[in-house]
Amino acid sequence: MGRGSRPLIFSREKLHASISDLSWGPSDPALPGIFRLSLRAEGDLIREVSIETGYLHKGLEKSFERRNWFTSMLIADRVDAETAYSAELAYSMAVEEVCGIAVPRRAQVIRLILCELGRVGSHLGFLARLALATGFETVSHYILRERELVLDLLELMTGRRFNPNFFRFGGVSADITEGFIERIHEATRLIEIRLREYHALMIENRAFVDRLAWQGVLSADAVQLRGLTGPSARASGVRFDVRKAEPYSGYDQLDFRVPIGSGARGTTGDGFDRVIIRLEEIRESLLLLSHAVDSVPPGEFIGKFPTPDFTVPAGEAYSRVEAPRGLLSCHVVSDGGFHPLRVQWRTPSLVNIEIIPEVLKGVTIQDVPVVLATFDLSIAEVDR
Amino acid sequence: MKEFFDFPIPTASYGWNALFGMSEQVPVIFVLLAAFVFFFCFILFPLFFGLSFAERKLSADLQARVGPNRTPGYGVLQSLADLLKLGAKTENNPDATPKMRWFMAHGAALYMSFAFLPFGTALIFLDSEMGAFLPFLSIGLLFLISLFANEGARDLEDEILVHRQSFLWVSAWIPALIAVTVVVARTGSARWSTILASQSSGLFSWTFFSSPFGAISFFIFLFSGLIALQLPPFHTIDRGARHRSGVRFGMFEMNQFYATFAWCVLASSLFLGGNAAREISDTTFLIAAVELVFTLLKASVIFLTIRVVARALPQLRQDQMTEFCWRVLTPVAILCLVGELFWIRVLAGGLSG
Repeated sequence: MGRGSRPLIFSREKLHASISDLSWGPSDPALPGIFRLSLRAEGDLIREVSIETGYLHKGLEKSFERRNWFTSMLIADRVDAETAYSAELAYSMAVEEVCGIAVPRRAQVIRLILCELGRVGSHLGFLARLALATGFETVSHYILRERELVLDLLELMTGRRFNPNFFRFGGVSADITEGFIERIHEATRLIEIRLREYHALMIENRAFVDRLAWQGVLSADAVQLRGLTGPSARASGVRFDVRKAEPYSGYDQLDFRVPIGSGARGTTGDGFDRVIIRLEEIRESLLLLSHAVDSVPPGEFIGKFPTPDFTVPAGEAYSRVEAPRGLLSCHVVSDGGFHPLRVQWRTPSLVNIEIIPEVLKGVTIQDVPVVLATFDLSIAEVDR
Repeated sequence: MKEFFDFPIPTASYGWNALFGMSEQVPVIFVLLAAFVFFFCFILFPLFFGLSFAERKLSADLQARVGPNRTPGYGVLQSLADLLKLGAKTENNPDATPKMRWFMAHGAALYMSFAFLPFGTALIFLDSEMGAFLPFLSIGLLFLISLFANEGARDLEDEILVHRQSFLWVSAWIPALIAVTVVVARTGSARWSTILASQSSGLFSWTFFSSPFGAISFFIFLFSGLIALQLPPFHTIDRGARHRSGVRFGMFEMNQFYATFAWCVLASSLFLGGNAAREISDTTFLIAAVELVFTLLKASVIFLTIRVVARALPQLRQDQMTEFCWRVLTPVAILCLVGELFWIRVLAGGLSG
């Protein structure tokens, strides 16, 4: 459109138009990742939503088939950077089931510790992203400071902040680093104190609560119908957590609570519940971490170290773990060769994103980024 | 020609004449032009860089990070570096608004508002009976030009934001106007020279300290102005920002800075003692210089406080702010006006009587 033909802003036609079609993305700072959001708004209320994904497709599942078993663990990290430990665990558990490998108790606890640290880091990342979506810049910086602490701990243990490639079939690649347990205790104490500060800054801040309460309400029925999992589902009152339902890696030997939404400030399943649930889950994970590091049993951290010519007998297995965003499943098929025949993933964000068109109906345009942020979607998980 | 420039303007701008070493016979329009160039080159730009740096460093300290530290002098030239970078960038949307029209409109609005701002008892270009209300017109024009010429709704989403902002603008101006009326009720005039002189006899003569309603009115004035101008901490989620880049983005930042600073000058003049410094010296030059420095200092302190506090607050939706204006600010402003009238007529009158 040339300069001369640029229409007036308040043209009669536009003022009288009540329906408007908007298109956000695929690359838009308001969105939690690379995807296209097509909105039909009446005034500034959203009436219809459609989502187009696939812009971040990495061919992840196919990549497993091109790798040998030994190096394929690296690809599991790519499911999502923040849930790498859960993905490695799911993949390890599936392969170990096919091979019939027993994991030493010490390795199980180390895996549990790393997964819980990953959960704390992911939830802190969620809070930081949500704070940014609501324009709460200062709190975002504070939260990222604590997330750095978690990443430092992960680096101390695994040597890497992201993409750890640390788990092995039958255990983990290294034993607990010297000083790691003491630093875990320090970090959990510090983060617990800081959580109280975040509570005061966010949960007791009326301006922040008003942006979230009654926004993007998700009912328990919709959760069960669509198969949502994770904190977003628990916020709607559905008490499902794989760590309790089908315990793995020693979760059954630790006592922890599964918080569910109760409509503390608005109604059950609203944006506020999704935030408070994650805050409570961080607390539970910190308790779990404290108990787990105190109960690390002596022994080996791996049964038999796998070599590059490691093979898996023909067969298949399906494993389920509770990743920070929900149920993460891995289906592994082997034909007895050096490479996986097929590896399939069920990622929580892929299922959770399907509810977005329903949830965004009735939300104002300005609230769309905030409501999307409360679901903590990972487009890397969606597209794979 | 001389008659053309001799039209009667109620003015108290002889301080500017003294600052520039001009005779008092020089037509006020020329003095205004000189003051405008001087202000923008030697006050506003240095203040923009200085206060931006101070704000960024203070905010960084508040947010547990380092802040700008790459440019020489502990990062003090960061804003200049940013401006140079923006100047070198190409516009991502050159068809959004004709560039020249935007520059001209922006300049005109800035120029207008400058003429209405009181920088001191001897630095008032338009000292009319409506003086305290005139900046509303010019800053409103600045806002509208910023909205229409620079933002220029590119799609329907922006258009909805524009509509909402227009309603917000109206709902925020009303409490701001009532807050100014509180000051006018106290001083008995909307003339800047009267308002400034009425606050020149010590701390308790300031509108802010003169009565509880004066203090409340100060916050109403500050909040409603920031809401109307969409300035932090009351700025909305600015999705229009994706249409700004390069020079236009730099101009928008400058625009925001000027609008906030002008509002701070008004707030300090109306509520925080103004800037009268007549008791310091008999020399007009010295009085004008001290008053100008006082004004800039007070406005800078208010500016920094607002900006740093804004970093610690979440953003509100436009409808939440509109509701806040109608349900909180406007009723409280009306109560303040009634209370101030009661205070003047009954309590203060009773005490003096």
